[in-house]
Amino acid sequence: MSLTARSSAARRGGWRALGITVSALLLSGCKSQESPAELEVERDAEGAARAVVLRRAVPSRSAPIDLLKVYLVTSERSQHALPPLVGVHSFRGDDLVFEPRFGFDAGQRYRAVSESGIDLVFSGVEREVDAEAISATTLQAIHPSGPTWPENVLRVYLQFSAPMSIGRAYEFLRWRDAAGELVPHAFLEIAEELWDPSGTRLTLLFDPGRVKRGLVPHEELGRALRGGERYTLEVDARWPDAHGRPLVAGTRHAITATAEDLASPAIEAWTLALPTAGTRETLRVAFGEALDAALLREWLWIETSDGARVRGAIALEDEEHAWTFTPDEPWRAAPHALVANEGLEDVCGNSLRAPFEVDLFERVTPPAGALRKRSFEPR
Amino acid sequence: MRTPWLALACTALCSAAGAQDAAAPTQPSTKASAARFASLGPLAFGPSGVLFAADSKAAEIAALRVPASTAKGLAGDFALVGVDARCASALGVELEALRIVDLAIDPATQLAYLAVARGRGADAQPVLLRIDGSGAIEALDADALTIGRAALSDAPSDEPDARGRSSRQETITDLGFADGKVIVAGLSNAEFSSCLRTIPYPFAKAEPGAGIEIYHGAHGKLETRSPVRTFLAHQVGGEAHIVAAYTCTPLVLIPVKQLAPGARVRGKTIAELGNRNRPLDMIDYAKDGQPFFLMANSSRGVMKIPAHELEKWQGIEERVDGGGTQGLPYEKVADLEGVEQLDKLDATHGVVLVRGADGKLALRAIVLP
Repeated sequence: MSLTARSSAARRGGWRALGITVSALLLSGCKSQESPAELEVERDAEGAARAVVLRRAVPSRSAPIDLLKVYLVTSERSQHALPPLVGVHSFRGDDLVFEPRFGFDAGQRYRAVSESGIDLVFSGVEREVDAEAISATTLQAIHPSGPTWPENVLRVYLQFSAPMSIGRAYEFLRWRDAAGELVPHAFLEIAEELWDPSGTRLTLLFDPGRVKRGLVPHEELGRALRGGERYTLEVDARWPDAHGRPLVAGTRHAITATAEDLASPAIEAWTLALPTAGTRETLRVAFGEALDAALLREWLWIETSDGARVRGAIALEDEEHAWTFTPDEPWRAAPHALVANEGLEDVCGNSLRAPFEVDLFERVTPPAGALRKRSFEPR
Repeated sequence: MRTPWLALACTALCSAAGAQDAAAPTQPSTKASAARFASLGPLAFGPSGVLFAADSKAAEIAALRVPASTAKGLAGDFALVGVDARCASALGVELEALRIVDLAIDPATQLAYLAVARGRGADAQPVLLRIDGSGAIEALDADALTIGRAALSDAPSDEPDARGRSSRQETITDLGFADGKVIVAGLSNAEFSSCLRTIPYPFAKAEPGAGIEIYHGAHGKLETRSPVRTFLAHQVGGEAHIVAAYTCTPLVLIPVKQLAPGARVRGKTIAELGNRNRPLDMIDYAKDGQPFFLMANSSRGVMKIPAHELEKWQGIEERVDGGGTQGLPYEKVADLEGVEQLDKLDATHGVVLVRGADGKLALRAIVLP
């Protein structure tokens, strides 16, 4: 058997013109055939494979899926022991066409095999994927972003520069004490993993059973943090991103634990630096503690007295201790309200509605999503 | 078992010769429905032939009509070793780029359904696979099979904030069907809360979730915000109940009829199965005329729990010390190690996704203990 490659222009209407065709000709073992079968790969104008064609497929009682099979070529496995790609077989005249259900991927190699033994290896795209052209993924930020975390911190966000792989996060995360010893069972491991829709931000929860006082895990193991001690969150560089590539570098994020925070944030206690009416000055709200970086962007906003939401830009400052709002239009000299969803939490899970530690047992609570408002008027 | 062959999508296995007009090149038939799955799984079977599938990214639950099949279901001695490698191969990806989200067995046909993600990241393609008794893997078109969708009305939405899109997202951790309702457990990636939602089927509108309050014995505290890991629907005292397993494994009984919109429900903790453990999956079955639960766990193996006359159990309201257990007794099923997914096959068998000592993942039928 020999492999030949040739270009052919606009062989068939309907298929993208200038497709590059690679064919494998069966030159031996078929002397009775007038026109030997051959395998070809049809590609689009960008050189991406889109179908495999078995030319002059020999009429056979076999099902089409047995006449032509396409396998993914992998480094470590024998593809013949594994199933071929799922897809659609169809006849186009004498030719049998196979289109994979999920397409051929760039950077992958495939093997097409006909029932009569013709064999063709090809790649998903003609050009080699330039791995260097795709910048590698970095861990951009960790929230809370400050150097101190309350010892009962509940939630940590890891923000990456690009989508990460999903399903193996806990293999690549370590929580170590000042001596470098691993603190076991620090995180609540959630098999599904809590990612944002873009797959770039992971939510990591410290085990709530260890965070909450009086609980058995808390008393047996203590919190994963103790006030006054230093800790390091280690993020392993081998953690693959969504392309399967490791991170640019590992991260060691050191923090110092401070005293526990058991109190609910109170909107009345926040400090407002008021803007001047008629200007687009920034309104600044200081909390006196770090609030949840994700919730601050969604559950805190400005309304006019008739309840309309004021449009503008939100920013977080001072390691999430402050929230600023710059309106798109100048402030009107009229009453406004700073509005918070009661579910807004600090980094320890204390919400405006209730502290994390409080038993809500016999207590009647308002429905989730209730709002707290604080009035103000630009100067 | 004979060598598995590959079936095709629910679309025609082979379109008629010449059907593909030269002017209209064939496209893979994955775009038949307007509402496309953004993510797929968990799965749960409902009324005959209806498969419920969670779409966490869309904050929706879909109902699918599974296509008829002439293939035989899984038998009691079924075993498919390397099931993940086989699925990855059929979908044309490396093993590391395939994630199995959930397993469900159609009780009517004993065919296995797997919700998988093809790809590594958040943009992985959701795919519904069906495996028959011969081990053949079939990729179904979940979009085209969808007959209804229900939005989770109080789920974190994709409403934009002042600028841009919401980053809040709820991950649906389990799904079930009882008493004419789809029951949904989820966990948010932002605010910390526990919520079970009920959606009457056929779908009209999702009801706001009911907050669940349980006495979490291993925590010595009333726990209102611990997430439900897995649950099943079970008749207790003639009424439909949810038996829910939380993180740190308290087992809680919740009457379905009390799951009213916006209600706060007090669940009854009927067992503490030990802490530092994560329940994975749970089924109920009968053996020798007695009801049992079978629960797979992250670090405490598979537990067999007698479920006889649960209504007579007192709720646990005192703390369980030393990580011990209280309430319903259980026995660990010694020969079931490495179980990652569990569902019921028939009256006497279950199906597990189990990681062997050799690291290979197998889809395997088991005799219910």
